[in-house]
Amino acid sequence: MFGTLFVKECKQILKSMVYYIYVVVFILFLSSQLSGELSESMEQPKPDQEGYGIVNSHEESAVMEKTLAGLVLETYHNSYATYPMGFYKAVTLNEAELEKIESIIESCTGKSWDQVVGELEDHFAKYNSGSMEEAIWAQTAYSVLPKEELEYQEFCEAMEKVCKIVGAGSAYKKESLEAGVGVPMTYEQAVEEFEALCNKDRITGATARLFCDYAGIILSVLPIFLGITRCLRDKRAQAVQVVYVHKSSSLQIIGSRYLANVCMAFLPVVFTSFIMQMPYQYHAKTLGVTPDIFAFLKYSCIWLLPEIMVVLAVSFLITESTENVISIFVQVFWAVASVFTSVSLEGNFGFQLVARWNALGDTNAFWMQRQELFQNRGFYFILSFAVLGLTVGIYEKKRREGESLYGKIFKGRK
Amino acid sequence: MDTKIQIKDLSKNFGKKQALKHVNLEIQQGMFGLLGPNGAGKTTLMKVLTTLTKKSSGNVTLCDIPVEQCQKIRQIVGYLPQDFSMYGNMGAYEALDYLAVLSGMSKKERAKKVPEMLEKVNLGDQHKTKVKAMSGGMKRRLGIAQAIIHNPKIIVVDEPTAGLDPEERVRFRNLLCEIAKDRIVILSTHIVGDIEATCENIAVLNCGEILFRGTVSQLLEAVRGKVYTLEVSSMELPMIQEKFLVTGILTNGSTANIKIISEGLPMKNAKPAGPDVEDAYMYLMNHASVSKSRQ
Amino acid sequence: MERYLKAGSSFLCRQYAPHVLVMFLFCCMSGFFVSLRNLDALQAAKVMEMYFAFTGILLFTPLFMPEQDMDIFLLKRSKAMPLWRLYLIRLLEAVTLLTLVITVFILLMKQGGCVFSARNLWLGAFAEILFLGSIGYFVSAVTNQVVLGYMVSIIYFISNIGASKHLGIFGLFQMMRGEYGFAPVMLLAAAILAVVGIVIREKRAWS
Repeated sequence: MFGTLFVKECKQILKSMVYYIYVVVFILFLSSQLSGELSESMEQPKPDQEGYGIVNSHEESAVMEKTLAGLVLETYHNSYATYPMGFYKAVTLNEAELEKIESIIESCTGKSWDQVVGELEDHFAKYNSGSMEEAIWAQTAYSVLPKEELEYQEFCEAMEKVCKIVGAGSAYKKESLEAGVGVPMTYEQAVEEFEALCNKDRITGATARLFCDYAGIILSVLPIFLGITRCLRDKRAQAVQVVYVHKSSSLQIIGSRYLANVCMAFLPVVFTSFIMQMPYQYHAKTLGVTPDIFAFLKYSCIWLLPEIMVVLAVSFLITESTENVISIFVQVFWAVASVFTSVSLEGNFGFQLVARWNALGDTNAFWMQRQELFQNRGFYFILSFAVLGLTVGIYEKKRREGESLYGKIFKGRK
Repeated sequence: MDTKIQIKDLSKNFGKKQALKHVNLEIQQGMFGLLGPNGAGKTTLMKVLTTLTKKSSGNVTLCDIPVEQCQKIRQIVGYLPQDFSMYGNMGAYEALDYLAVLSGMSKKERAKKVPEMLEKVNLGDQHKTKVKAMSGGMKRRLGIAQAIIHNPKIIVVDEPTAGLDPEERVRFRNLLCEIAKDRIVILSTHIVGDIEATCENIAVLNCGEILFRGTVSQLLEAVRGKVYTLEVSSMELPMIQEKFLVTGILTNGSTANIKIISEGLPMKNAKPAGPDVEDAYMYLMNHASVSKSRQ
Repeated sequence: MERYLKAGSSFLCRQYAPHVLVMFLFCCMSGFFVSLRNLDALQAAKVMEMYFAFTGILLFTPLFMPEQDMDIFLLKRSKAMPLWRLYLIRLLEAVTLLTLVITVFILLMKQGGCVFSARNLWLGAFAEILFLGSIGYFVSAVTNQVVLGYMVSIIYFISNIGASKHLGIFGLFQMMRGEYGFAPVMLLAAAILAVVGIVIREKRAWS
């Protein structure tokens, strides 16, 4: 019975407009994000290159240099990135506050503010600001030397003062300093990185990660609509009671609907990833690397499937219990929050709904954090089953008692 | 397993409102009519029988299975709700097939039964018609097909003829009678004519209480000799309506032929008439409201 | 006149209230996400365009919710008051609420010491948010599916994050780049979407 119901649900999904919008938007979004020539940045590094990218460092001198550089830049633009509730918020200071920050910078560097600004402008003048790549190089190469006698402890105290002025959740809080800073990579490091790309990722792994990064963003929102549409369908068609009185258990009914939606939502992901990996397979072969043909499938299953599952499960739960569209607000909010709260665009998976790895490569760094990603996705995988179980419970309760808890509360309104 | 429904001391409360008050009923094989005004508790009673709502107290068994065992009850019950509908984009065959799957029927059974049922309810040549394009009667016929497709012992139909045209209505009644040959069909309605034409056993429900239960002839017995027809002038009509229970008026220019129910001979020109179910029903309802206002 | 007031207030209390509540909560939470202090013109535009733009989706998409049920739709169609007038009343309510939200937050920004042309920002934000909202309004009007309305408008918003420049005059986030010329065009487009949405809805008998 479950199998037949599942097939029938899939056919129903194929008839709904929401599904086609889902597919079209997903493909358009990904092709617009991944259309660039990515293969260029996957070449063997040469000794005389201008830059090789960034690597994370915890060295105290590096932390001071880079943090000060960030502070000078933010002060120069008078726009401070903060995450007070985990969400990005740009803070702008008034004259008096700016002066205080400038004096902190002066005491840390031993130079006057005007001198610091002069050096900053000189540095950036060397690069062509019109080109995205050069702008990034300029940013990575920029650092501000602290004065020689500045102790790390003293520096931390100064940054605490900055935090008080800028507000909660800035890049100058203790935790951020402890997380380390990005410094330019050397040629040797770059070669090591490239070897990892070829051996561990076999090229396709790295591109699959980038694919999952972009797909993860849009998949935190799109499946919501599939879930809501399915759950409200019985109500719209006035078929609720007819379905209730039939023999099928609530687990069979909700389970088959859920599974059908998960599969149909995952189908375009597999399809798109298969098409998009083809050029990289070719590229890998030109580099003399045997590509991992199933990399995209593996990454999609681990990275994206749990996300689709949990987003659908939550939209099923909210919609079955409230019988209206409120889950759109709740879940879009969750998705946007997750995208904006990620501290970095690479890793730091934690328990983020949207796992980010917005980089092509960085293989060693990823393999170090792989365990964290597995934990994150495993958590959502299990969570989606728990949520689904709860949904089945609520459906069964509605079936027996004729109304939902939400319905009882809001009955007076209608 | 006995094909019968036993309801003992059934009550159902919605908050402070009592929708069913200590209802006792025993329903045997055949057509059973549930009569009552709107809001009498008919739908609530049917929902209790079909596991769609929980009873507050009392005992209900269907074919010796307590109603608490939802899964088993759902297997032996077919239900046609008042406002039956299905997903609009499904064809008749598709919709029936879908609901048959929900009843747990195998592929082989469905392949045999679905066309058979469509044929039975006269939708055979319209098996591709989308639900959203169906008329009220077609939808109702599809509804009855889905209620009987899994061959249930008990079929519950909630106001099946409301909104149907006379021809459809007659056809639908006949269909129900045909189905009721070897099972229980419970039919709720506030249209007295439906009951008269189809049911032998009936119960009248008002304000959550059973006012009457028995056969149609027993119901008629209660008003036998109390129904009169007479001709009055239209001017007198309001006065008579205040004094007697008028169950029928046929205006004819300045005079009107009326049908009234009275314990004794109401006026000297009144002639005794044969009662029909409608008269009996009106009499019963009137009695109930009078005794209620006396309390 | 009285009956229009009645129709409007009934919609507001019975169906619209939860949506207005969600929008109100959304505005109250702005403190956690955006700063309203010491902004320049571009930063103020960013706050309006990236955060408060959502109020348009929240306010305009659910306006056809009550008639999503076929029976209610047909019932209301049969009444003396033409449905388009009913829709216009609701539209008016939503526009009034939007005006209120924009005005309040622009005043708050001015109080927080931001420097920008209030007239430009007000007009730009109004046109843009109305336009975004009218997309949701139009889609839910034509398809009779509120969910689709939300879906399309939210997707339009998201796609603008990357592709605003390619959408020409109809791209969102133009004020963030210092451009204000789009306002009249967008206002016109919003009006057309609203009117065409109602017309199509009126013409189509929902089968």
